[in-house]
Formats: sequence, C-alpha cells, structure tokens
Amino acid sequence: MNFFEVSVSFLSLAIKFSTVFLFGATGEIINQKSGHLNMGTPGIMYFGALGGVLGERIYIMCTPATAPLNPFLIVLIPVLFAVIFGAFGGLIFSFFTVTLHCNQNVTGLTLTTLGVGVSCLFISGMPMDRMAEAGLQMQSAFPDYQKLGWFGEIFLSQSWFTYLGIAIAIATAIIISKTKVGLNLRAVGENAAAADSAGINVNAYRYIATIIGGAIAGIGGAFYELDKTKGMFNIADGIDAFGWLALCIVIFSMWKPLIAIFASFGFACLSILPSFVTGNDYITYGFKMLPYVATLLVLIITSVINSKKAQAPASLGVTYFREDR
Amino acid sequence: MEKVAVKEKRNFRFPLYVTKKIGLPAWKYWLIRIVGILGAFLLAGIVCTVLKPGTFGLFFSELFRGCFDFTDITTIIELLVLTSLLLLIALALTPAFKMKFWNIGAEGQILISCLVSAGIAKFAPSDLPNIVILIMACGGAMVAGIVWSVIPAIFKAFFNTNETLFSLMMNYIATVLGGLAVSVWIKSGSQSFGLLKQGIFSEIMGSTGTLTIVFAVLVFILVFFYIKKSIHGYEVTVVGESVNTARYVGINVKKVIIRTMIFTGAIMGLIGFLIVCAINQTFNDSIVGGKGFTGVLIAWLGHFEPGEIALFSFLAAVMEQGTTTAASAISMSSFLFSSICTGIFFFVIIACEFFSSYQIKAHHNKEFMNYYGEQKALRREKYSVQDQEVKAQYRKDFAAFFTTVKNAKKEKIKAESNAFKRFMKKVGYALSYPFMWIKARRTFNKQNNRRFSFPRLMKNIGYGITYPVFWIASHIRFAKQNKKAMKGENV
Repeated sequence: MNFFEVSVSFLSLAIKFSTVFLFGATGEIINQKSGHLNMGTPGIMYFGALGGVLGERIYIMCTPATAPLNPFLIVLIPVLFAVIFGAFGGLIFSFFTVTLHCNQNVTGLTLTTLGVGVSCLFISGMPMDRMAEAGLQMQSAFPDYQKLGWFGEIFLSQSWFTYLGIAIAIATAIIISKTKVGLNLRAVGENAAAADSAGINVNAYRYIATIIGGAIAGIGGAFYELDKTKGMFNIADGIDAFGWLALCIVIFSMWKPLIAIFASFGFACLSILPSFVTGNDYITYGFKMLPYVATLLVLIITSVINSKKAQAPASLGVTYFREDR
Repeated sequence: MEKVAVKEKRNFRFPLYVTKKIGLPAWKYWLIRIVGILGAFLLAGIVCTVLKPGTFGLFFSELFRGCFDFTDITTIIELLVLTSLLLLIALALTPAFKMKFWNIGAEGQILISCLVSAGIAKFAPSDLPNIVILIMACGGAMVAGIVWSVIPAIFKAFFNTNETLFSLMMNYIATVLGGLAVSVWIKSGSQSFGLLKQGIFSEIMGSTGTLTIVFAVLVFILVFFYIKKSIHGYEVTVVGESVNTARYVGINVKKVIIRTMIFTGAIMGLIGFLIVCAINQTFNDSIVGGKGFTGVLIAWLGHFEPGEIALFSFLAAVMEQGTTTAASAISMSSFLFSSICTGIFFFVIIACEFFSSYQIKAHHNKEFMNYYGEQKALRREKYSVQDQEVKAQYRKDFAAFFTTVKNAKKEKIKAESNAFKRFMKKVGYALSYPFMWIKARRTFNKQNNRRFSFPRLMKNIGYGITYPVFWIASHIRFAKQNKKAMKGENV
C-alpha cells in the first residue's frame, strides 16, 4: 500500500471513530449546559451498548431461525433500545442530583462504576449466534461509494450513524444558541436561582436535558459495541475510555457542539494513530498523551484569558435547591 | 381581574414537596444510615440471586468467609490493609474537600507516586541498604504526589481554572506515563514489570502490606488534629464556607489552597509508596485500580469527618473483598460483580443521605381531604368484587381462626422448659409471623372452600399499584373542580 491509500483508509477510519466521540460529547454538552457535570457518561455509554446488544438479541430471538433478518429493523431496534437505556442512565443521574440533591461528582462516579459492571456482565453472557448481522448492516449508508474515488472512500463510506451524529450535533448547536428553549437551558446552567425567579422550571430543564443527553450518549455506546469487529463483542478495551475522552472533548471544544465535531475528529485521529505509525514507545505514548495535554492547554488558556464566551457554565456541578438561596 | 387569573393558574401544584430537615437527632441519623447499609447488602444479595438463582444464602456466607475467616489470619489482614488504603486516600482528600476544592485526581496522584517509587526501588544501586532505598522511594513518591496535586491548585489559585476537570485530565496523563514507563523499563521478551527485588517491606503476619495499617492509624491521627485543632484546618474550613469571608478576615486564600494541596499530595505520595513497596511489590499502569475514585466517594459520604470516613472505608472494603470472594464461589467475573455491588452500595448510601437531610411533605388541605375521602370510598366500591357484608364476615371469621392458630403456637412455646430455647423460639415466632399469616390464610380458604379467583387477585393488585396515580389524579380533579367553582363565582 502506498502512502495515499494508507492516508485515505486512515481518514475514513478516523471519521468512523469520531462518531462514538461525537455522540458522547454532544450528550455531555447538553448535560453540562444545564449545569450537570455528568461524570457518569462512560457508564451511560455502557448502558447504551447494553441496550443495543439486548435489542439486537431480542429481535433475533423473535424471528425464526431460518427466516432472513430485516436489514432495517435489525439496526432500528438496537438504536431504540440504546436510546431507552441511555435515557434511563440519565434519569438515574438526574433523579439523584435533582430530586435527592446529591453531589454530582459522587453520583456520576458511582453511575460509571455501576454501568461498567452491569453492562459488561450482561454483554459477556449474551449468546453470539447471528449477532454480526447488525454490524454488517450498518457499515455504509450509500451504495457504490467506491465509484467516487478517494472522496467516496473517506466521506461516503461511513455508516449512517456518522451522518446522524453530525446532524444531531448541528441541531443541538442551533437549539442551544438560537432558540428560546436553548436560552432557558443556558440560563439554568449559568445561574439556576436567577432562572428560577424568572419563571423557568429549573428541575424540569435539568431532568429533560440530562435524559436527552443520556439518550444521545447511549447511541454512541451502541454504535461502538455493534460495529466493533462487526458485532463480535469483546470487552477487553472498554467504552469507558471513549466516555472519558468525550468529557475531554467537551472541555476542548469550549461547550460548542460545532467545534465538538472537529474536536472529536482530531481526538479520533490521535487515538488510532499509534496503530498506523510504527515508532518507538515514546512516539506511541506521546500520541496517546496528546489529547489530554491539548485539553489541559485549552482549559488553562480559556481560564487565563478569562473570556466569557469560552467558560464552563457558571453553576456547573452545583445542585440547585430553592431553600438554599 | 388580573389577580384572579394568577390564582387560577396556581390552582394545581404537585402535591409533594421537599424541604430541609432541621434538628435531626443523632440516633435517628445513624438509624437511617444503618438501615441503608443493611439494605445495600440485602440488595446486593438479591442481585446475586437474580443473576444466579438460589445463591442468596451462599452469597452471604461467602461474603462473611471472604472477610472474617477467623481460621485464616491473612483474610483479616488483607481486609484491614484494603480498609487502611481506602482510609488513607479518603483522608488525603478530606482537607481539600473541606475547602470545596473538588480534587478527583487521586487516581493520578497515587499512580505517579507509584511510578516514581517503583523506578527508585528498581534502579537504586543494589549495594545500598534496604532501609535507605525505602526512604529514597518514599521521598521521591511524596515529591511526585505533591507536584501532581499542586499543579491544579496553582491554576485554581491564580486563574480560577476548574479544578475538577483539571485534576481529571492529570489522571489520564499519569496513566499514559505509567504505561510508557512499563514498556520502556521491561526487558524485551518479558511481558510484565516483575516483582521488585529491593526496596520492599518484608512479610509480617502473612502479608507484606501489614505496615499500611500502622501508617493509616498515624495519618488518621495527623489528619484529625490537622482539621480539628490546627490553625491551618480552621483556615481551610473558613475558605470552604466562603471565600469572601476568608479574604475579609485576612486569610491568604491562594496560599491556603496551595498549602492544603501540598498536604494532600504528600499523603498521596505515601500511599503510592505503600502500594508499590509494601502491598503489590510490582508496578503496572492500572495498579491503583479505581481506588482513587472510591476514595472520593468515601470522603464525601463520610461528611469529611475522619471517624465516619474510617467506618465507610471499612464497609467499602468489606463490600469489595467479600463480593470478590462470593463471585468466585458462584463462578462469575469477580471484578464485574464486585463493581456492580460497590455501585449499588454507594447509590443506596447516597439515597440515605437524602433521607437524613431532607424530608418529603404533602400539601394538606382540609377541603381536599374531604373530597379525597369521598373519592376513595367510590373507588373502593368500584374495585370490590364481593358484597361488602360478605367480605366483612370473611375478615371476622379469618381473624378468629388466626387467633386460634397463634394461640396454639404460643402454648407450644410456653411448654418449652429451657429458657434460652424458649427465647429463641420466641424470636423465630416473630420472624415467621408473615409466613404464618399466609399459611393460615391458605388453610382457612381451603377449609371454607373459598376458591382462588383470578379477577379478584388482579383487582386487588391493581388497586394497590394504581394507588399513587389515583392520588395524583384526584389532586388534579380537585383543582379542576375548584377552578370551575371559582369561575362561576366570578361570573
């Protein structure tokens, strides 16, 4: 393989990987905009993965063994299950932080522990027959993309999850910055007490934002789990790494979904680069460290400049209780 | 007119609200916590039974055997070592948390100290005495821990950078550095770091980590006095309560933040040193294994009080070690099962926090209660399959029958001559009361030829399950009725 072919396949793979990051980051941005620092995102992505696998298993169990599987349903049902499971994870988080007024860091870390345990245990116990089907069905959205050469190979060979992820990110950006709902959401995240006295239902906004964010992150987990080696799951390399990196992307992109699209592409490049570049350990681990260092630099620079547009939501991580005002 | 409109809008409100509990007596507070802890263990047992049917008893016996096996001293020592490790981590975090400095970077701070002390122990010249290597490793680890924890503190103090996200990032950088060090240090051919040959503690009472317990006790005393009795501790509390107040009374907030994180970092270094040189005597990039995050949870649940932290670290250690043993007994992945149980444990205790500091109240209203009473009577009629009189008669007959059953049992207990056995039988009687009731009900139905009726059962279940929905629905209906009445008055 010459350099051109390698770089084409590299970019194509990077876009595919960035999908997982993008779903996680978009969900987390919606969470954080409402003032919820949801450290349970890795756990929620695991829940989504469990939902995806479970949905596919249920669909396969409901069709007779000889009948062909519907290529549309076998993707749709896992996604629906992933959305429900991810939303359930978000619901647990918001129930504990909004209704029970618990510390968000503590709840998030516990949710991650629980999510990893529950999902891995059930996924590893799942029967495997015909499970590769969904992974095969969601390989590429457009047929005959090879005719367009390198352009088709990079941009049109992707699964429709990728396009869905970008669409969700763009829609989120528009809703957050242009609509009244988005304005209210930002108000809740910046100063919950002021938003409450302006007549915005803080609890409802936080509940709904966390549930929707969880659902989106759940799709990301399901995509990774079903696509990984085309449906033959192994739990050796966990989704939690993706979840933590999604948290980094949120900071790196300064809470803007549009920047998150490119940031997740960059992070995906860095995370698959070690398998394309042969070098000594220092180079490999240097690439591994780059995303975190870059995130740290963004965090430091934005706080040193103290620009208002690039700051975290002011009441991020603060639970709101009306009697505390 | 406008006033009326506002009133109408406010007609329905959610019938429950949450308010703060004030002046909860200590015994009630601890009762809630104990119930929560027992509930968490019970729930873990139920999850175990769901995953592998029929293992409820086995789960608890294995849990107990894994932690308190008095025939084998090593299990108890291991439990205490795990406890003291978690205790040390939580104690190290406590001063910073009291300052509302949310440092979740314990994982990275420990890992980097592990890395440094492993490096020193591995590459120190072998002609040095062991104790010198140990002191060098400990000092190096402390420096590394201080560096790793003071960086977020400096940025927090001078630029107000978000310390939670900053310390989270530092965790991953430490993990990558750990991985790099392992792959550079190991000789080509071997896959792992291997056991350390020098700079290690020797085995005491069947475990190399026994000295950790001593260190934990010392650090416990140190942190206790640092927080409660020293000026530093007082300043930390003031900064945590209000930064502006601290500035006003002349406390240098930046200095306090950095000084406290140096204190944290030094203890983190000590923990890293103990993990490498005493407990594991080897190194890899997942050597901390999530204990840093568990420490964060423990410190928060212990309200930053050293005594409570010690209790919770012991319970968390029991949960982790016990469930690991139980998982291997019922052939399940021990890491996954113990992480599920730990997750449940912390969730239940977090929920208990809520019940000890808040209370749920319902909006009570005399008019509504009257209306609700009527509605309830109507609903009961709708759900009752039988004639009310027949039902009342059945209840009466059954009560008489049940009394005779109870009396027979009581006579039996009285007939027992041995006092201890009599007492035990009384306890058994109390415990088996619900089962006795069910059994009596079944025999009574059989005797009276009262057949099982599926519709009756479904209606009974439905009545119970839909009760909350009915309650809220009647609230809404009541509000609507009021609205109509109010409109009528205005017109």
